[in-house]
Amino acid sequence: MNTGSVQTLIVLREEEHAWLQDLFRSRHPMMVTLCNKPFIEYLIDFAILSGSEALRIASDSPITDLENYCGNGSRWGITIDYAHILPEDDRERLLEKNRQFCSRGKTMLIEKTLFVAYDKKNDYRLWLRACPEGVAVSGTSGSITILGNKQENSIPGPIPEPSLPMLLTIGEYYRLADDTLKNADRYILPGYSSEPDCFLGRNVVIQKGAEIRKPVMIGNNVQISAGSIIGPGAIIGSNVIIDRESVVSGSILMDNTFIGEQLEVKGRIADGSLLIDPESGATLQMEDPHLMSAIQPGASTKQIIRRIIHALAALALLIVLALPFLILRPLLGLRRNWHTKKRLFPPGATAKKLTIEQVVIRPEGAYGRLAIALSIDRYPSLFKVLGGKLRLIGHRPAVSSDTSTISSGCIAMNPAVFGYAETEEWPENERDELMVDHYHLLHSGSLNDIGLLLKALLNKKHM
Amino acid sequence: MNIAESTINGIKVLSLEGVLNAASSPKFKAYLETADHSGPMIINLEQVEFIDSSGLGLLVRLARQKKSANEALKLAKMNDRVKRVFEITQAHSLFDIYDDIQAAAGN
Amino acid sequence: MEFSVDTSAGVRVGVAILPERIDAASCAELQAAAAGWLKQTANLVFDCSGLNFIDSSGLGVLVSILRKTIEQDGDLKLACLGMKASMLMELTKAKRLFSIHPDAVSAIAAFHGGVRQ
Repeated sequence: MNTGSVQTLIVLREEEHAWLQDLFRSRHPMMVTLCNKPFIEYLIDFAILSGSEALRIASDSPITDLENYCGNGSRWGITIDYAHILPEDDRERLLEKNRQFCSRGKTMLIEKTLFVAYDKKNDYRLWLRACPEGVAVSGTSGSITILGNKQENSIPGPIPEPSLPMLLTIGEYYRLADDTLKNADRYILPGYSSEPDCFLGRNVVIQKGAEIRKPVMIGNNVQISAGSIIGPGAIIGSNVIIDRESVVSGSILMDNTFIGEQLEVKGRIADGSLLIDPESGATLQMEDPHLMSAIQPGASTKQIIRRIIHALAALALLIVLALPFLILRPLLGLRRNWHTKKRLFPPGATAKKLTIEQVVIRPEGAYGRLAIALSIDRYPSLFKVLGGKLRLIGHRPAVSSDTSTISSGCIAMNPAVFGYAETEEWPENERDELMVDHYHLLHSGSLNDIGLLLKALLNKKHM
Repeated sequence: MNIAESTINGIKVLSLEGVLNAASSPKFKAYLETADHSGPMIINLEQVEFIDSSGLGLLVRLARQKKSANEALKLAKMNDRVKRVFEITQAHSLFDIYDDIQAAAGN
Repeated sequence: MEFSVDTSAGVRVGVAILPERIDAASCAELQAAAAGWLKQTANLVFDCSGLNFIDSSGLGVLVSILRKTIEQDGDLKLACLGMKASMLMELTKAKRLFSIHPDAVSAIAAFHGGVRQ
């Protein structure tokens, strides 16, 4: 069994780190950055420092953003793969499901842990080699457990130990970020650093008259306008704009944040349009885009082409169905078989919400059935495709439920007039539909979309 | 698509090979319907090259049947391509997924 | 908006209870009401205990009311400022313009002598 190789198994459960998830909804808690570096990367660093050749991330919830970021690990020279577990799986079941991975040698099992405090100058291979089976380090919530036998050639002398700092509130996060920046030589931090307490990313534009005070960390693609004062103690993420004469000190600005002019951000955490006071945990969702807002990355050419194709196909449908619509619409109205339903999408969203109006026609009588067969109920929504508000085919919010169980990963997907789920026979409930939607959202291109649209139009299941 | 049947530890193991999509899923469906396939089951996905949303639908239906019969259905040895589909569709939350057939069979 | 005149500090102090939200849609109402209050007294206290959201246009109205009270040798004091409103006022540096008190009683008492503190 023990071939001398070492691997790391990181276990992520959705119920963990709820406080972080509540604050930064748009990403997985492990993708929240500490000093411009996602938490997961500190764990990867530590796995490498302790001699792991392979690393597996086992999760019970979607980790698409995490997977896109980490990939196969070639960036770090370690093999990374992913496994799925269920929320109810206990430790024993978890290890069973990953038996092949764990059986290669000594396994370091990292659970409920966001961050490991390490020092890159230490050789944690020695530490791991000397660790007996069982819990090696435990913190307030997480732990590192060693599976597999202790090797015989244990090393005498003091061996440095990693630690798991307390990290259960945004206040602790804030202090940890400050501490990490101050002890930057212990970690591998992103950015160019000619001095120990100053890190600069790529494409940082600092206009004349702006002042930078150490310690400071600035990410990539950052613009700091004239008259601004950044630092001391500022951690600025990537794609950040700070407008004229604003002051940012003792604060963390997450990626994609815009700070308006003549503002004062002191002792705060800002993420897009969300402002957080780390001491009290109070949050303020800003509604004035000129004060603070999230910077949206621009649409790619591919997306623009897709949008145009959707609009053209919608136009074709509008023309073809114009006559049937003009005839059937009044008839259905007379029979009281034309109901509109307004709802917000995504459900429960506060920012960037969209009102969607859906028409419901009962399959009653010849007109009702004909109207459904011709998709007349979708006719009014087609106009929104022309304006780019809706996709022609994509995720169609279920008409019936307002309390849709849309998880974080789907929020990004645009609502559409026709659903990918309508191309298939098998989906029985909303969850099944979401599966199909997700599948095609990632696999379909502009041309596939047209084929799928025809399939949806001809599929008699939704009639 | 090929289907090979074997037994480990008294548990039926179906090893699928090839492509599981709209074209091939009727074959798998027919296979499941022709014989008695009650009892716990392991599906070995190691040799599955590709799975699409209708192939996934078939596994979801099977999982639902097994669940209502109170019988276990475990998936084993998913390769990275298949894993990716399970992940983006969030279908993984419906299945017990093992990286080892022996472990899935409780050996 | 509730408004009353308190004389316990020896001067006439107008106390108004601010609504839950002051934004672009509702700030005109506050501006109009304040014009009426200012005719009664230039010493104002705004009780912000119910105030849950304020945006930059709301803030603009508060600053303009403050300016008018000062022009009339009075003051606008804020009481029971919540965390959210306080964060916005710190961000925009408006907080340092106002005298801020934990509750309305202490804000009224601060008018004793009628001097801006």
